[in-house]
Amino acid sequence: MAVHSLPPDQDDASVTEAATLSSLYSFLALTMRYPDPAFCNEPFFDTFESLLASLDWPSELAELQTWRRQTPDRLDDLRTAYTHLFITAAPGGTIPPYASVHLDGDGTMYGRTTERTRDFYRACGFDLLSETEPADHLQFELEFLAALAGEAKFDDEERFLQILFRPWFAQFQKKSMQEARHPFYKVSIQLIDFFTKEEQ
Amino acid sequence: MAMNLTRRTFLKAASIAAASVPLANVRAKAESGLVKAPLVAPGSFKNTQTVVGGVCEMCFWRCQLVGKIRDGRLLKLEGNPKSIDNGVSICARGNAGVKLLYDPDRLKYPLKNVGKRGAPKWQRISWEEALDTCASKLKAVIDQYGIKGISMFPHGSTSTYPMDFFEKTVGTPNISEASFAQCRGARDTGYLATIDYPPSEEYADMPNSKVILLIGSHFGENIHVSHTKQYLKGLENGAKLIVVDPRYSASAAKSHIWVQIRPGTDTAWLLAIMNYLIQNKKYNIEFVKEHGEGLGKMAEGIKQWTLEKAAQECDVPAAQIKEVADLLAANMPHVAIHTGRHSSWYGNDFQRARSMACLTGLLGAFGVKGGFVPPANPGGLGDYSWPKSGHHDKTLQELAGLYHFAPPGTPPDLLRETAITGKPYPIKGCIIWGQNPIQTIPNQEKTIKTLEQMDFVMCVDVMPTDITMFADILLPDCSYLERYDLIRTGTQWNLAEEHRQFIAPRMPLVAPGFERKDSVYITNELAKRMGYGDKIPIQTQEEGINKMLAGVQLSIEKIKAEDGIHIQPGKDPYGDMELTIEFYNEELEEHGYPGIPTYIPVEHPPEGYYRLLYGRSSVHTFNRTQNNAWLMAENNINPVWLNDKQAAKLGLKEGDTVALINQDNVKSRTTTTVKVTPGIRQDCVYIYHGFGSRNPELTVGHDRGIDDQSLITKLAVDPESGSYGMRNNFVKLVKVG
Amino acid sequence: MQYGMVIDIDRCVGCHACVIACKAEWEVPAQYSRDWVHRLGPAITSTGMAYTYYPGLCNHCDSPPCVPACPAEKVNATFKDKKSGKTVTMEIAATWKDPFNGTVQVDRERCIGCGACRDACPYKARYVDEGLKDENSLGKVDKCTYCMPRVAEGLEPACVQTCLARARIFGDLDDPKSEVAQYVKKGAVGLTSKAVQIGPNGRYYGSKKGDMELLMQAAPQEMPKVSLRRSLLTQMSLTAKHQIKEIGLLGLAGALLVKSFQEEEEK
Repeated sequence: MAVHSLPPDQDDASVTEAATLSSLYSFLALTMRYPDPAFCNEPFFDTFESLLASLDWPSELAELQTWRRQTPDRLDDLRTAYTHLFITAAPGGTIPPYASVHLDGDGTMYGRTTERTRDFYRACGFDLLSETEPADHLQFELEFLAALAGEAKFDDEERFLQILFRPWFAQFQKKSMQEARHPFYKVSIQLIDFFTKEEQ
Repeated sequence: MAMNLTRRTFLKAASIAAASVPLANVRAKAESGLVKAPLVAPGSFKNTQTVVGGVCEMCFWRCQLVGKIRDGRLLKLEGNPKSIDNGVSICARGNAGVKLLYDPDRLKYPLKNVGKRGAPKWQRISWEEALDTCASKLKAVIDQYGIKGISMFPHGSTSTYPMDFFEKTVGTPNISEASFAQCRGARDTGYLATIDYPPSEEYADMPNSKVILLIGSHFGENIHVSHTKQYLKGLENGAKLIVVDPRYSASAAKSHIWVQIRPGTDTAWLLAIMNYLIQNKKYNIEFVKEHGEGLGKMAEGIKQWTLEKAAQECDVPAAQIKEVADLLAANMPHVAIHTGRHSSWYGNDFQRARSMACLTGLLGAFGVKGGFVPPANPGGLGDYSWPKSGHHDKTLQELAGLYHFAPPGTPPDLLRETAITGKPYPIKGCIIWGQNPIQTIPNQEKTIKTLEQMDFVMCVDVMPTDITMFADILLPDCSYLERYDLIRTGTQWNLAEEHRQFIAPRMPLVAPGFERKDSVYITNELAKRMGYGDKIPIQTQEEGINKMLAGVQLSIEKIKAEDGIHIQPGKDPYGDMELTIEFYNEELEEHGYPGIPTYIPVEHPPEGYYRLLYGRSSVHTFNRTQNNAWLMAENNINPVWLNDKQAAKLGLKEGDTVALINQDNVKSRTTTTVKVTPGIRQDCVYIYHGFGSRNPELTVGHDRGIDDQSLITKLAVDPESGSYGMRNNFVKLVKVG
Repeated sequence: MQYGMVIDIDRCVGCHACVIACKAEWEVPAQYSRDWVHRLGPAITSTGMAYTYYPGLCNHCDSPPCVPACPAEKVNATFKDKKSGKTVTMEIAATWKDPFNGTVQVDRERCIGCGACRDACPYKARYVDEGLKDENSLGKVDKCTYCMPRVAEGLEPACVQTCLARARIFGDLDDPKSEVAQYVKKGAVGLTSKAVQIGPNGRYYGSKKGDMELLMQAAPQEMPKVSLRRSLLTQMSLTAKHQIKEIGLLGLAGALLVKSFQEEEEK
């Protein structure tokens, strides 16, 4: 992603904050992407652990560490877990990571929400690179939030979270917490919740 | 979780070295203003693009479509206004194609089964890995067991290209199409053995008929747009409708005469009508003189079939049989005896089809207005094909010396038997392409055993189905809205109107979503990896379509410029078809079958049991539409029709929940409700076919209603055609809850 | 002018295309419907066995009970006759009957989702999409509009266009030359009963007595009792919510109101 210049009236602290937030969203987006050796490697898991450590989430950290220790082929394990949780599974238990499935009333894909989400991206100056997957996949939404944060467009970020993200993510998370037994995905979804929920 | 840290404080601390990763799928575009989403959908006509060239595949009829697309999102399907077939109309299923395209449960990526067959655990894999695995496993089977070790269950237009490859170029004889033994086999062979002309459900010139005779066909439950338009036009024009059905079907409800026949006895009824017409010289003497052969032999052989005898056998009044016969005679030759399509009912079906063809001949209703009239479809399309290898093994059917009137191909039960016993040879590799053998072949346990003993099973499909649970590798196919494949040809729907022909290739309305690939791509990639790369006839689906269109000086470009359908002047479909009607067929007798149409009685239900009949729901195509959210909202259960007197006897009320148990003590896995009605005979019950999917990956369709196929464990094989009578199973109703 | 729709049940084959085309056109969630097809029979009637269909939709009635039931705040609206250019200004709530074309319409922006109109309709032609609830409403009501936005573009209603049987005929009942008026002359009738006489402009034609008998049995036999208190409460709770929100007591007061509302429902 290109480096974005920030308006001059913002202080250094908020610049750092924006960059951090953007990196965070990007990282979270990766956790929701189908595991690929290009990113899903030891440095990635190390980063995950250091994030949990710095957040002071000791039990989640321990869970992740245990999983790493006990799983020789971590990529393979994550792929099966991802497929089960987000693509297809028998018996049941798949939580499609698309907003419209949760918002548009009848479990639809490419629903009105998908259209609205894409319109939102475009209105903010972004669009999908590929037409083959719907715009409202959790991964893309997090990438979009990363892009907004990177440009310090905090108003747009908050508006997107409020109008389009939180309403479905809440439902997604609820269902995922029942189904996601895999520590990696369980913790990832908790992290996404933590970084996207409304500030009290 | 330590929740004392908030996002804000955390960010302020900015203390982590988060991975700084470039965004993969998002890039900058022009800025624009944000608008509030309206509460009312704007409608399919607002800011949409109309894409032409769709050809429906929610059933096999193939209506011509346009898509309304906004921003790459297909909102609505409509009939192509240029169509001279379905016009702007499409049926419920056609309209609901949008929900198939965007079904969240649809197959999106190649999958590998890391669990067990039947209890799969999936892992998404790359196409490269998927294709490499399929090719190497199939090659391993061939290396060990020979080419005969490979079997295939194909269905639909997506499977014709790969079927060609496996049958001709690889050379396996073990190919079992669902559309023959479990569908129209008995009809096709019965007509061929009588008139030497292949029949079709499209050959009934109903708009111009004076009498329409439907034997088991039920328009209104079975919907094909132009077909149903023809039927309605016939009724509007004053045709008399005769419906033979144990049930008061949607068509029976519009009929002038409802023949509430005892199931399985249709041939006896037809023989009695023919006998009456011959005895009373009420048949088309001139036509028969010119076109008939062996009438004397048939007349002699069927003279036992008096009205009274048939009345007894068929459980209908003799006077009604006479009334029907007189009505047919009075209106001949303008009588449409609809051939039907799915004809594998009782294991005596070849004889029924043959009797229908003979009756059509007696009435001289071939090639005349209102009769059996093949439309004059456009010809001249080009062709391409996989080359034949030198390798040719006899099919199992040929080896067994069975079903002499069946075309090449392998009835699935022969295939299963061979696979399970390993005799006469092992079958260890299986390719399932668009077919769902669990829901189409009787005796599901046997199908499962067949699959369990395979070294390798691959499936290609659009949706998860009951069979895809048994795949080792599962590949996602493009739906009919995302691919090119067949070319639909035809004429104006009413043959009596200005003669026109149309050519409409199926073209994609949207680009394939996710990682779906079309069958040309998949087959070619397998062929390359299996060592047949030099035999590939076409590189892409577009190339195939263009090769075919070139035969009539058309191309995809030209068709697009003509709004998806090419229309040209047609030909008069009426006139002498130059047929010979073989009332007596010597060849049949030579093979040990009756030379004249013959009634073979079927078993009656044992005490306390009802014959299980099945049929169509107007909003479903078998099992294929069972996960469609819109169609399931209209009809998500298959209530069992039970005669009201029987219901009273059993103490069952409308809406009661029941399970079904068949004569072999097989109990339905799921339950359904009871529909109490006087509109069905007392000796049978009826449900819609295709419900009760066992695959839990179908979030809408899983375990909805009862799977009739699971209760069809007894096979009644039609001796001449080898097709499977599936209405010879009997069930009890057991109240649940 | 009074738009109306005739359904010729002699022609209808019960294919449900009308329902699905409507869902696609207006993006109606699967579990809701603006129109429907019910199967009637097979059953014994005075003329023997019959089996037919009840394809239903909003009847855009002459005296629609849904219109006065709407408790939403009234606003002035001006309607224009397309032909004469005449205008009429009148006070409307969130649902009204158009003074020129006779259709009954809904303003979803102002709808408070109370469900009073839905409950007032004896034909059950309306639904409340609770998925659309927001801070001003408990959801949004929806129903057949006779596809007025399509008609305005010169298109047929979606259900009419897709009907392979040409069993659905749409037009102006007030124009004696129209096909719908011809059908009425031929005997097309609304689904009315002794207690339900609100001038439905959906008319049904069938030449078989048995079919018509089943259809008339499917007509509503009584007018629903409208709970005035219910719509009042909904209205109050929303207004109250706004006021209370401002003084920061939303949770408590809202819960109390909702509770009393539920108690009312249980009774």
